[in-house]
Parts: sequence; C-alpha cells; structure tokens
Amino acid sequence: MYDIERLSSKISYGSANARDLISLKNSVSQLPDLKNTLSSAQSELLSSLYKELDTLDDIFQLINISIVDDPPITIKEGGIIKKGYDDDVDRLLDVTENGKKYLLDIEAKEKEQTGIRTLRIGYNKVFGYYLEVSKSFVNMVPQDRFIRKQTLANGERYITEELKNLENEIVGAQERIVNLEYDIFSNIRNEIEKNVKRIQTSANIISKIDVLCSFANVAKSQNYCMPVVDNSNIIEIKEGRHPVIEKILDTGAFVQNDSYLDGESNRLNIITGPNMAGKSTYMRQVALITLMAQIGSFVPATEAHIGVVDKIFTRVGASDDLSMGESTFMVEMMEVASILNNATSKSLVILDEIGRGTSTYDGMSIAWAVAEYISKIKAKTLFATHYHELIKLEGTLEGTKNYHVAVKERGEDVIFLRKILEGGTDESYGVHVAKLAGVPKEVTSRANDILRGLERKSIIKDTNMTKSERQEEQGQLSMFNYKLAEIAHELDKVKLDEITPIDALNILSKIKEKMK
Amino acid sequence: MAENELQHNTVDEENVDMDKFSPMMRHYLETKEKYKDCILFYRLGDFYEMFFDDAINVSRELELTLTGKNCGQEERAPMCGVPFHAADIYINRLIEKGYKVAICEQLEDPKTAKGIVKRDVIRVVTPGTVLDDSVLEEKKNNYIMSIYKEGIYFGLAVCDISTGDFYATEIKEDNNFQKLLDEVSRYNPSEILINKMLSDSEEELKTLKQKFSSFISVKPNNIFSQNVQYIKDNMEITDVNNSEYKELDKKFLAISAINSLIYYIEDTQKEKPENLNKIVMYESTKYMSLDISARRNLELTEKMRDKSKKGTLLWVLDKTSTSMGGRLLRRWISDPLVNVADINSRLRSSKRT
Repeated sequence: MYDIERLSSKISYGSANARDLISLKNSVSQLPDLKNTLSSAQSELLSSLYKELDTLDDIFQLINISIVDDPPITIKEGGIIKKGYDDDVDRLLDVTENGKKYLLDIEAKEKEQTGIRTLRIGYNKVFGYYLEVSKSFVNMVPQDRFIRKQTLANGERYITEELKNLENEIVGAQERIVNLEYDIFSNIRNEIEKNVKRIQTSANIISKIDVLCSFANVAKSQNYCMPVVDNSNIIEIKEGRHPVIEKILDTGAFVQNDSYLDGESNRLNIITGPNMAGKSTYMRQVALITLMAQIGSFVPATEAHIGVVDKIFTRVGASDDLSMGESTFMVEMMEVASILNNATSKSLVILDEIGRGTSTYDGMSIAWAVAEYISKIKAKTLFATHYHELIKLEGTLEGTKNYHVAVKERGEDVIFLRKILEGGTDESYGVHVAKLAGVPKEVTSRANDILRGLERKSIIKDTNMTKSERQEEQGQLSMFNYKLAEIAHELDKVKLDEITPIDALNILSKIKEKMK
Repeated sequence: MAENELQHNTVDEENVDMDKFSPMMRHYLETKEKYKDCILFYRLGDFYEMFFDDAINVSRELELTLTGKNCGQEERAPMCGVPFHAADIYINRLIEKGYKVAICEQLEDPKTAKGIVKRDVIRVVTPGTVLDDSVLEEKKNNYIMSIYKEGIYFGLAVCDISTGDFYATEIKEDNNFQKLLDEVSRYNPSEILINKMLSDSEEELKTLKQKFSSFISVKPNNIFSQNVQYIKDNMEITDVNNSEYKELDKKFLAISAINSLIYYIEDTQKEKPENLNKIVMYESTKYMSLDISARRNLELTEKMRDKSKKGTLLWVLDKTSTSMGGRLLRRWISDPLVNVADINSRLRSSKRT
C-alpha cells in the first residue's frame, strides 16, 4: 500500500508520473480485500469505516486498461499507454514496429497486380518512398494510380496514394506517439484529479484502520490491557509499567507500580526518595498511561481506570530552554507559574523536584507553598521532592498522601527497588548514588563522614526529637560538663612553678584518662 | 539557519542607471523585485543562475563557485548557477536551511522565440509548501500555518499541502497567547505566516521565534481578507465529525487566517490545488491540552536530547504499515481526546471479539 494521500496531491499538482498512477492502482487494488475483511468487524467504529470505504473500482479500472504495468519515469518519451486503449496510439505503434513490413507488402501487392517483376520500393530524401519500374516494363504501369515522379536512364519512379499515406504515418510516428501518449496520459490524470476527494476520503479511512490495527498489535505484543475510561475523577492503575522503558529493558525487568489518584483524599501524592531511584520514571509513566488511554490505545498495566483529564502538565528536570539564555531557575518558575495559573480540578500535574534551582531554604519554601496551592486547585498531582520536610504535609494538607521509593540496604550498599510504596522516607542516599556512578571511593567515604557529622549536628538542633532521645542527649551533655568541671578543678590545684616536666606530663595523661 | 527575514540590497537603484542594464538583466531585476524574500533561480539555457546578493548567499550556503556576468554596468554582476537537471537537490538544501526559492522558467522554446525569451516564475518553494518526496518525511505531516491576531484574540489556519489536510480554529479564551503556543506546538509547523498586529507585538513574536524553529514571515493585511465567499465556493467546511459546519460566517478570525493561507498557497503554487477541498473547523477544547514542555518532557514524538523518534511513545506505538497511518498516529498522539464516547469507540476497536 503506497501513500495514496500524497499520490492524490501529486495528481492535483499535475506532478504525478505514470509510475505514480501504477502505485495508485496497486494500492487501490487492495481495497476490495480490505473492505471484505472489515465486513465482519464488531466494533461500531470499524463497521462505520467499512460502510464508508469507497473501493475506487472505477479508478482501478481506468488505470488498469490505460497504463502499462511498468512505465518509464518520464512521461515525455512514450511507452506509457497500454495497447488496446487508444486506436491512434495502437496504429502509430503498429506502424513504427511494422513499417518496413508494410512497405514490402505494398511492393508484393503491386508486383502481383501489375505483373511487373522488377518493381521494387526505394527511398530518397527528395520525395521519400517510391516504386521503381525498369524501362522495359513502363508500359505495364497502371496510369490511373501511379504518379510519375522521376525519370532515370534505365527506368521510372512512381508514387501511389497508398504509399504516400503509409509514408506519412511512418515518418514522424515516433514523435507523434510521444505527444499523443502525453496528451492521453494528461487526460487520464485530469480524470483522476476530478476524483481526488474520493481518493482522499479512502486514504483517510485506510489511515484510521491502519492506526487501529497498530494499536491492537501493540496491545497484544506488549501485553497491554483495555482501560476503563469515564468522566470520573479517578486515576487507578494496577501494575503499571512505563511503555518506553519497558520496551528498552528486557521483558519482565521493569518493576511494576500501582497508582491511585482521585480528586479527594488522594489527590496530592508526595513522593520522596533518592534521585536515580525511579521517581521521574514513575511519574511519567502515570502521565503516559493516562494519555495513551485518551488517544484510544490499550495501556501497559493489568488494570486501569482513567477518569478523563483535561490537561496534563509536567515540570520535570532541567528544560532544554536552557540554551536560550534564561536561567534554569527562571525557566522552572515560569513553568510552575503557567501550571498554577492553568491547572483545573480535572488536570493531571507532574511536578519533579520543584525549587531545585535555588538555595535549599528558598527551594523548600517554594515547594511547600506550591504543594499547598495545588491542593486547593484539586488537580491530581504527583509531586516528587528531595525535601523530606514535605512529608509532614500528610495529615495537615487535605488530599495529601506520602509515597517513597523502596530501598534495600545490604551492608554498605543500597539497592533501589524502583517500587513506589506508601509512606514517607527520610533517607536520601545521595552518597550511594555517587558511588554507583563511579565517584572515587575517597570522595564518597569522605562524603559519608561529612554526612554523619551534619546529621549529628542537626540532631542537636532538631526540636522535633522524641522526649527520650532528647533526655539521652541531655544526659550525655551533663556528663560531659561534669568531667570538664572536674578537670578544671584538678588544673586549678597545679602549681606550675613547683612541678617538673615529668609531673606535667603525668597530669596531662591523667586528664586524658578522665576524658575517655 | 537563515535569517527569518532576509535583507536585500540587490541593486542600489538610486545610484545605478537602470537603462544601462542588458535587457535580460532588466527583466531579472524586475522579477527579483516581485520576489524580494526569495532566492530567485533564473533559468538561462541549461542552468538556473543567481545574481547579486542571491549569488553571494547561495554560493556560500551551497559551496558553489561565485563568478560574474557582464550586465551592462562597469562592474560584473556576481553570479552562481546550478545545472537545471540537478536543481531539485540544491533547492531542497536551501529549503532545509530555511530559505524560500522562486523558480523562474523559460516559457518559450529559445529556438523559436523572437528576441528575448519569455520567462516567469512558475513556482515558489518554501519550507511549508515543498512537495518533493526527498524533503518530506514519510510518516510526518509538513504543516504551514497562518496566525491572524486581532486584539487579544487569534484566528488560526493550518494546512499540509502534500496531503490536503486543512484545519482552522479560533482562540478566544483566557490566556490566549498561551493557548496559541499550545496549538502551534500541536502542529509544529515548518512555516508560519503572521499578520502585522502579531509582528508588532514584540514579546509574542520573540516567544514564537524562541520556542519554534519555524520559518516565520509577516504578510500584508490585505491577504487576511474577511470575505467568506471564496472559501465557501471552493471548500467543504466540516466539523471534526465530518458533519457540515454552519457557523463559519461568524468566525471572522478564522476566515482571515484561512484566506491568507489559501492566498499564499495559490501564490506559491501558481494554481488552485484541487486537493485542498475541505476545511475542518475544530475547537481546541475537543482535545486534551498539552503545553510545549509537557509534550517535550513526556517525549511523545521526539526525544528531548536529539529529537529522534526512538525511545518515544510514538516509537512504541507505531506498528502502522502505511505512511498515511504513520502520520495519523502521530496526530492522534499529539491530540489526545477528552470525549469519553469517542475514546471508547476507538478502544473497542482493539478489543478481541
């Protein structure tokens, strides 16, 4: 099946050649079979396409009887028109192929009729084909038909009307065929041009059938399910997969995830977890499955219930607008602004790491405020963040649910399971990602030390610690102070001008002992 | 990439005595005057020749040798040329670089012509009106769009002349410009015509140029006619469900955009194309709204990094066996539906029975 849509355009612009018409014919020839196959279709859409499909039999016929099956590319050198389509073309073709034979026929015929044995046909540039009769037979020449043209020493040359007619056909036949074939071809093309709209309509139906078949094929080979699509406010996906990544990975290697969003208590999913762990993939997957359902395709899941969404917004990672001179953060905020201004309660919003482009506290505050605002709009939202503070929104901000990426720790190593589970997390595993990425061990282990140090500090500061933790912490502190007081007392007793260096060293070693 | 609007100073007419030019060169200059924004391919025997700034630009872009031709003036005119039988290749390369090419042909046989051979432009090739198979992608539409701005509203017409698809709509809601950008990204046209009012809104024009790589040109107001009769006489007007559309008379924004687009196409093709016989009027609310960043981020039809198809949703879903089907699939992915009945009617077609 060729591109009959673009072929019909070529016909409209008068740029179609004979080969294009043959392509059209070959494509159109498949339409009756296609129509036949569709006749048993159950779905309304397919059966209405079946009814509308025009098999263009007349176009097929027209090309089939007029154009040879393997025409040349150019339409200005003849060889296009089939035998039997046009009398003039046939006759001219016949003459060019058999001209010599017809001349000999005339020679033989005249010999027989006149009884002149030596009569023969000849050609010169002055008056073309002639019949030459030697002197001794001149008296036998029929005066009514033979016209004398030239007298020679040993004979006479004549022409007849029949001979001249044949000559006219032979001379220039090639040129006339080329022109005639071109004219006939143009007429056929014009005739088809009048039917361009019908061809376009059939092309249109063929494309729809093609896409629907493609959907069905993909659904089968990729093991998709038929989603339930309605006007509810729910997006519920069971064992969903990312259509693209699933296909790039080996079969079965992709981790499936469930999703549930509604306009009420589950409208804002806050997803925490380390980078690289699959948050972005998961969120895109939900958006893609929703979109696939709405273009009428089956979806990569075992079950899916999609309430139609009016808009999908995404704010994901660094945008390619970067190259256009605006700062990342400005671009990010412009996109956020556009989302907040345009999203409705029927929209699906994907927000990935809002506020990353600025300082931690700025970013976190913005992320927090955006989450609050979007919850008011009631748009179904997936909100990935590395600000673990945002997990506190669950319970306080209406419709918020926490999710996190499951992680398995094996000794020092961490494996990201790419499974999205309910509940928040407060581990970020950034250092582990660095390790996975091949950052030298010296750097990652130093980073780990710094991280531990920072964590300890933040524990001291954190006012949200449990009571027992705080008491323990305070207990350690008072112990420390007690020791310091003791040491101070000891030092106070020492008289520096009375002791030897050895004594000093002994005192120092005692203090050290106490500090342990 | 060529400048969107080329600067032409072909001949400084005030300081040059036009009478001194050879007759052929005078005709060339007259023709060039009518096609200022195009590269003029001027047929001389077995070659298409270019002169003056065209010659300088083209010789640079296509790495052709720049020579000169006596034109009656003291200095020779810069000239470069390509053989006529290979012209398509050069024309296509110029189109891909974002130029427009006007082809000026010999209209009589030089053997029988008396005096100077009659020549005229027979076709203008632009990124949005190219018909050559070697430039067009099989499974991708090549759209040309016209945007008519009036106050804060927009009329929009878009067409693929290689397939005959023709759509039009109006944008009269909130966030009009944002909606316009969404619509442009839906089609991703290779060429955009705009009216004066849009080109005067500097911020909007700047955004359009930044977000899209389309060839944008400003067209005079008179081609954005509000006369509906020509459209009605030549085209069938339908809605998306292929039923007759009766509201066109009231949609003067759309009418202006449609008229300009038809005028431009007929002017470049030098004929009235028979395959443009139907206009589909649609409301953008019939489709899911996806802004540019969502389309790009979700990698629906091209990868963010290298614009390739592999690794996109289209790549996964494309098991179509015809180019037409391939193009329609791309359109369906770009235009998800919101009407439950329409969606389910598609879904039921894939159901095993």
